[in-house]
Amino acid sequence: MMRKIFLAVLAVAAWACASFASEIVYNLGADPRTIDPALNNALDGANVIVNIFDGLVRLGQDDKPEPACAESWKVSDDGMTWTFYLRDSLKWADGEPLTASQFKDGFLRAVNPETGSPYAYYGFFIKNAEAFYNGTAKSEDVGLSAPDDKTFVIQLEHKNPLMLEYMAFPLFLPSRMDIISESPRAWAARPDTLISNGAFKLESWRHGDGGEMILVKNPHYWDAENVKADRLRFVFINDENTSYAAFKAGRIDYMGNIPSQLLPMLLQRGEAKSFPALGTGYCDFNVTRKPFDDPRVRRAFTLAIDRRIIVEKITRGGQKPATGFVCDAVPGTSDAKDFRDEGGAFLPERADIDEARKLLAEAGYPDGKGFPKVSYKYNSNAGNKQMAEALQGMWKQVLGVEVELLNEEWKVFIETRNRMDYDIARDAWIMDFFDAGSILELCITGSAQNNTGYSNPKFDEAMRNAAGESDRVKRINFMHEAEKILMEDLPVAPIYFYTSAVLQSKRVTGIHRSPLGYVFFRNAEIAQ
Amino acid sequence: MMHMIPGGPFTDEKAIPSFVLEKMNDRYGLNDPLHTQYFRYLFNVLHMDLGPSYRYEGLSVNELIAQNFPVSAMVGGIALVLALLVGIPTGIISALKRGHWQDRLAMILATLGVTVPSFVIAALFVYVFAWRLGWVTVGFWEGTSTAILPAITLAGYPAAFISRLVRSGMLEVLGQDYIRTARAKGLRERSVVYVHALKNAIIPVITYLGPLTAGILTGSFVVEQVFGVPGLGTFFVTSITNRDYTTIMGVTIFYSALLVGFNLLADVCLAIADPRIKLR
Repeated sequence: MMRKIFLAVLAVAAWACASFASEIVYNLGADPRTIDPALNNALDGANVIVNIFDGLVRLGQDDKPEPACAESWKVSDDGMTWTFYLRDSLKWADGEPLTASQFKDGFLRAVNPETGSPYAYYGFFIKNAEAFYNGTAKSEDVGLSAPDDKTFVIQLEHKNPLMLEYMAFPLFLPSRMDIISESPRAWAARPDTLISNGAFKLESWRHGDGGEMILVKNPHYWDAENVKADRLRFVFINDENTSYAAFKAGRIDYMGNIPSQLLPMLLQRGEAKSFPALGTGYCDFNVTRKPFDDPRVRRAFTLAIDRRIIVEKITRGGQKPATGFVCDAVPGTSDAKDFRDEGGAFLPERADIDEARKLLAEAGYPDGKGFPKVSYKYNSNAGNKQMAEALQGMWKQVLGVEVELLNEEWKVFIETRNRMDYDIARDAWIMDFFDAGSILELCITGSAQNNTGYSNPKFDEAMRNAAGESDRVKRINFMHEAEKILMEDLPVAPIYFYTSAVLQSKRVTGIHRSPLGYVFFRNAEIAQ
Repeated sequence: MMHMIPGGPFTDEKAIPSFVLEKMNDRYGLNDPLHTQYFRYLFNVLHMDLGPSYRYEGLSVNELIAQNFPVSAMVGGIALVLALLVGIPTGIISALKRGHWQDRLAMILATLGVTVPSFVIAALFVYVFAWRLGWVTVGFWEGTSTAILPAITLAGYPAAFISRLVRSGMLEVLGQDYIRTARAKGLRERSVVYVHALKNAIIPVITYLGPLTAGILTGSFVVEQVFGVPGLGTFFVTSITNRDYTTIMGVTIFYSALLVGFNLLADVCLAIADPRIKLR
């Protein structure tokens, strides 16, 4: 009897170990607000969506769009009509056939005002989509059609040079309206109604910090034979020290948010790896107020910053000094060329003390005399505070100017910055696409993201020219022109280019991290 | 009041164009006048509906509480039992051995328990048991086994507090006439202490148990964050930073209901324990 019990216990234990060992554990950090492709606008949500849904195209291991649900496509001569041909026998995770009209439903849902998608405007390149959104056109007028089950046609409102990158964006995905129309809001919050079509499917989801999501391999995925992992466990451990403790204990295979005090050591030892991330950290200057309405003052403040010291002593995660607004690793006029290399360095890595002092004197404040009281606002966070103090010190030392530091809670700060109730404010941007325009467009007059009040018709024109140009070389050159104008006016002071550091266990291979921040598990496997 | 804090549930670094924001607010009725929103909410709450969460798309606050309260309640329940099991005996011992080393030791521990904040204890536990010894993993919720460390952390303060309550209660009671009478009757010391004295000395503990139970069962933000416990305590704080209005209100109402309930229960228990207190 005892022996039987003993054997049973052993069997259960072996099974428990086996089931643990065959899953890959990733700390997603936060519990996503939603994983409904049309409603998500956060990276944590996107990281789930890219692993459970599959669009017409997907980002490959080289971060370029590659065929996914669409096997091939055709563009009309004028570039205004795109026809996508779907693969044979595509299926949803529940085994139902996946048709072109469901792509139409998904795209339409993204731009439907009833849906309330935060990214609806990303779909406005589709013909009549904006009019439909604003209630002046009907859904039938939107330039989407599915002549048969395997053909999906998109007509454009204006040319989109990044069409395939857009198609890989986790918003343009097919929808199961038979399920969604029954529970338009809750369908994506429950595993039994969230039917997806990607490499994995959602099995369970426990909400809140400390909760988790279990994804299992989708046997109906068209590329299922190349998906190696059977089970993924996405945990939501918010506290970075707790997450690191779990990693050290061998319970987490892949994690970002590494404790900042340990990061330099882990990078040095080679335990953590640092990747370029498509983002720039910078300061906003409020150009509508004195004294930062004067470009000389803005340039003086920008040149007084020693970017090398900032990345070596403050951020310490392998970041690079920002010599322009567009970060590294963004393609230029050809895939082989980097936009930043082509554009050259607009700003020095070290402070240009003489020039900064000279400019401030020219603006009427020699040695900072008579300079009005100004403040630097940032959102409360230990790293931001260190950065703020470093900047304050540099401005004091180089320019002789006192800058007051003010911190605010995150959402309060965002409102303050949007209202432009500041002199200098902390800012940063992570790009949505591999394209310089993705960050330059922040400074277009009247853009929702323009927090500085900057407006230069020449800059706007260069950006408009770029948007309407489908020749790559010309288009990129328009953006170089735009960046040049921007770096003369300096409504923003670029400080450093982002990196993201991750810890990965040795037993797992094939996890792909895109500089856009997405983590793909479809090629991940457990090395034995 | 919540609406006066700058920022809304959809305020985000990637500013959403105003026309889109308008439609998103519409969907949740956030564009209606405040009094309309208020009465609609009151009406729903009376029907036990705490509304949809703004932070978790497609989930209601009822579901959030239903999902996360049991976890907090389990950790809290263990902590409560621990606090009582440790607090009452140490209180009795230190009262009986007043002035001896046992008393001093117990009071030093109790002072530490009351004064050392839970995040220090929690961090210490993580360092010692998870990093150094590797006995437990933190960050993963696997039921009872992972509930122990957070429960011990949570139990620290109430155990110390109960111990002091019992000690002072015992000291007061032991000096009273009826104890002398009991002793004079020739009752055994054990019976004097545990039957006669403890019954009265425990009364302040019962009073304290009401709010304590409500508080400890709904979880603690700090302890849940550090140990990665998917409980309710986290929502008291994160719902505010997320401007998740319905969740702020929902968990507050839930906590208040528990508080009122357990206070009532404590009062009933008091009436049973102490005949001088009458239920009317």
